[in-house]
Amino acid sequence: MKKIYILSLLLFSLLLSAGEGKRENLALKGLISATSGLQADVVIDGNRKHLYWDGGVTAGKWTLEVDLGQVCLIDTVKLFFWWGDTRYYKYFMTVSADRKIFMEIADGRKNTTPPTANGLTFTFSPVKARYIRLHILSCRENGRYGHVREIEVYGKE
Amino acid sequence: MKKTYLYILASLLLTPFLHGEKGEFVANKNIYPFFAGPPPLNGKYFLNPVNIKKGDNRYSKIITEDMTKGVVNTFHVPLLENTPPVYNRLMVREIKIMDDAGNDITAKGVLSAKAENATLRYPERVTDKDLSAQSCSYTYPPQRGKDQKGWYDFSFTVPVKISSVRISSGRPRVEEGDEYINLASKYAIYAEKGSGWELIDGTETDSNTNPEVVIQFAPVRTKKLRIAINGQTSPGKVSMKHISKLKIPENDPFFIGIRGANVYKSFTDVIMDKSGYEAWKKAHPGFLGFPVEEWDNAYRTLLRAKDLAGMLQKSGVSSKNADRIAAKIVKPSTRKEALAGLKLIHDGLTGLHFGDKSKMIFLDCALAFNHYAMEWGCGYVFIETTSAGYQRHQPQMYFVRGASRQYGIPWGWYIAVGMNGKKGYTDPDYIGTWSMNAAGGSGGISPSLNKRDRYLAWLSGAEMVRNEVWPWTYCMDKDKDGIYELSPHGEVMKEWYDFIRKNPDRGVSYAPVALGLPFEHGVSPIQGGKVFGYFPCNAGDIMTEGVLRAIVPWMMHKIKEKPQEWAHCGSPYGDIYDVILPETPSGPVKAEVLKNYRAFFMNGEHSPSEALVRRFVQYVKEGGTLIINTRQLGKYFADSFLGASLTGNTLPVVGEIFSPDGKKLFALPAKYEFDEIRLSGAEVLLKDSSGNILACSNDVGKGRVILTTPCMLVHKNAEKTSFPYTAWKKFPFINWILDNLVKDLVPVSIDLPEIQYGLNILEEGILLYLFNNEGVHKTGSTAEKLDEKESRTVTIGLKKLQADTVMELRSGKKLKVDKESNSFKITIGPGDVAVIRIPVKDLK
Repeated sequence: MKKIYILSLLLFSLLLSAGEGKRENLALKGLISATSGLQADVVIDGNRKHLYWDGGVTAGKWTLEVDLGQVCLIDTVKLFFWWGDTRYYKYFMTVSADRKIFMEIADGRKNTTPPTANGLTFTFSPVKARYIRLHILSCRENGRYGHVREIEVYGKE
Repeated sequence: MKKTYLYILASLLLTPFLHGEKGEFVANKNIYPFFAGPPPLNGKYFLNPVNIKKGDNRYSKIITEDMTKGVVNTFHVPLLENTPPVYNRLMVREIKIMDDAGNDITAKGVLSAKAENATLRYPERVTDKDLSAQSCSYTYPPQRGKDQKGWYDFSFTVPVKISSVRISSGRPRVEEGDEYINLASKYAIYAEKGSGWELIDGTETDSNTNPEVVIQFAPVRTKKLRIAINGQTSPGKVSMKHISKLKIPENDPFFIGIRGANVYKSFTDVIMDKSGYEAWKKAHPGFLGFPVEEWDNAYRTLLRAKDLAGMLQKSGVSSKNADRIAAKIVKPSTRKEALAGLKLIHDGLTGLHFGDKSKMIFLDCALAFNHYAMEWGCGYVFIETTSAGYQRHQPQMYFVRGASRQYGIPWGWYIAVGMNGKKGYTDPDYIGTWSMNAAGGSGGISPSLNKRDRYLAWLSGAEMVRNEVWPWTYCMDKDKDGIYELSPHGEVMKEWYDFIRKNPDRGVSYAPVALGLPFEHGVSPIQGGKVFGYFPCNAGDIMTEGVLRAIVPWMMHKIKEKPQEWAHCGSPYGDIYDVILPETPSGPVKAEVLKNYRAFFMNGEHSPSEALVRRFVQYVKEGGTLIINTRQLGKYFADSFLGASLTGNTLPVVGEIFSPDGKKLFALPAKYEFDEIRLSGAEVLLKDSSGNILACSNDVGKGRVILTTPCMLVHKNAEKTSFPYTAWKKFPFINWILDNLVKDLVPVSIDLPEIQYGLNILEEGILLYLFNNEGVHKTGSTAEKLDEKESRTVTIGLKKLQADTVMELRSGKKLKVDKESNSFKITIGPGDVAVIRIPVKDLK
């Protein structure tokens, strides 16, 4: 039974990612805010390769929050860190409908893999959410920078 | 008549005493320079800044080294007081409408809203009495650097008398921050009138900076009110907000780097707090200036961009400024236009630096813009050397040293340690946390090249060496105890710095020859190629590159011949050249500058103005030697000055080349043409097999004019020569000139042509530096290997100099001068440097 459940989940994930190219990126219709940095708005401009948000050297708190404007039923988040060398980021992501109760959708707290141009895809059972938060814990082990090129959110309005 | 006769007679009698010996090329060979030694920058000793945070225990060993004592902090601040976001949106959190009795009547109106070319989301939120950012009305998609227009209309069932409107717009840039973005900076309020709208007096603005603004006006009776949001952009403010917050240690010199103040942003609209800046500057005498990094590379990129709009977008430039760049800078049709574009960029950059040109520090890398920055008023320049192989470092120095002397402005050397290779551009990273660390300590240039750059910087008169990739390149934790030791590059820095402290008198870097280039030269000293990286080369450009390649043979070809790390390269011609631009917008080069050069060798296309010709005539009369080609004469030189006149015929050079007495000098590897001349006082220096005159010499006053006639000294099809990496046929006329200059102006002889050399003149002696550039093997990802078999034993002839012993200063060894040959020998290892002090008492 457990196997069937896992297989179903896998199939569901595959279907989602296969159809993603045609699905609407809800983040493009939303807003974004950050705890630091100057130009968080480039993270939801639909461009995975160009400008990136630089959280700057702050006191260990780099959080980006995408606000979809209204509660949506979302199932996939794609994350594109800055890529281009050997640096890697430790992070986790949460979502919330009311900005009070958050649910974790991605755990990269132990990540040591440098990001690539393909980004990271997180799929999950559809959940009602308006706010998607990315918490960056470090660049490499203790580096105090956070760099993100793009966040995309997929689901239904 | 009698006076004239006596003058001619006296001239004839005195001529042999006024000029050099017969057969010599340069009229005045006096070695002693006129240039004063470089003054200390900012009253400090030669600077070698490395940033070490006080109290950082990792540096506890390193800070005991002298080389880390010259503290120069570099602080970085944002360009604008409030940096505009990349994208603009219409974003309103709340609107409140009050009647003339002070009642909130917003809820009585029926709201409709629209935005131009965008979707306006959640307009109803502007009346929900929630001021939070999560309850705003906004547009999508956002506009890049442009205003987003839109409006909110309120319709009332009966006419109401309205006297004020409150607009809450934008949202904090960051959580818990007090800086707002996407503010309604431009708005206006209208009342319905007939079938249209009438602006309510006093409600229009284009400079709102307040997220909560109450607009009051004389009461207006209307059934419909429009709140038009016309934009979110406003001129950026270059203020002292960020600079005044810096904690600057007293007495230490420092730079301030302004993030984003680059070529791409040079058309940004700004307003400056100039008086605040001037007051701050007065209180901070240690302020060295604002580095403006690699403006040459950025400008070249602009000119060459295939997808300019895309490139500017990538660089975060607003579409408004991108349009300005496209209109004013891109696709110049002439070199003058290209330079005019660069001047616009420069002026724009000045606006981003409080209008203080004197504190702008321009850094050149691929192109030589040093003279331009100085002509336009900068206070300091750097050259940046990097990589090996396809980049040659010495010509960069010739350009900047010349510019420095022409304008009396100091210069520095920025050593970038990266190198291109199979793994891309790598830096040496012995610590392991630098971003370009793919090759670790084996990345980047060799320690040997780092050493040669450092010694050349010091000896050629730089005031400062800046060290890129500190501490990764220079420090390493050898024993893994958390405390840094010196890496191989760090050891190089230490040895060099200890040397310059131990031998502080570097005298004056000896450059008796000026290479005179046209003002719009656009040369890339590191590799030649297209002018401004954009225009195809003409014959004059080929001549200039031919001269540079003769002095510093092109390493790209040498790599094929001999695979090793090239960036410096020896030749018989030495590092004795300054690049001077004789004709500038501010006038001809000053006589006080010209007099420092024994020979002025015109390179490239020129058509000298009357004023410059007068200056050259004065220069020659006072002892200078002007070397000029028939194609560079323009229309103002008198035949009597040249001792020759053009017949107007251009003819093929015939056969081989001979001295006046018929001695064969050289053959030509390609077809040349020359401008025929008729002599009227000059003496022949070169002729071809048919006796055609290819160079002549005319003595004027204490000096001499050498007129060459082969067209631009390059062969007939030289303009078709591909650039910059293909091999060239040599240009023997150029080598002939350089041979003669070296013979007359270098007071020593060096028997090995592959040895790089230069001289510094001391009060009582000469410093002679010798670089053996051979035998260094290094790629972007492999460690340095030195081939001891490539050591060189060099014999240095002292010509007319007299000394019993000389001393190599790095080793402290005395070397005996062989009396019979008046020479001495020294062995220099692969990639190594010798600095020899030759004591001479009667130089003056």
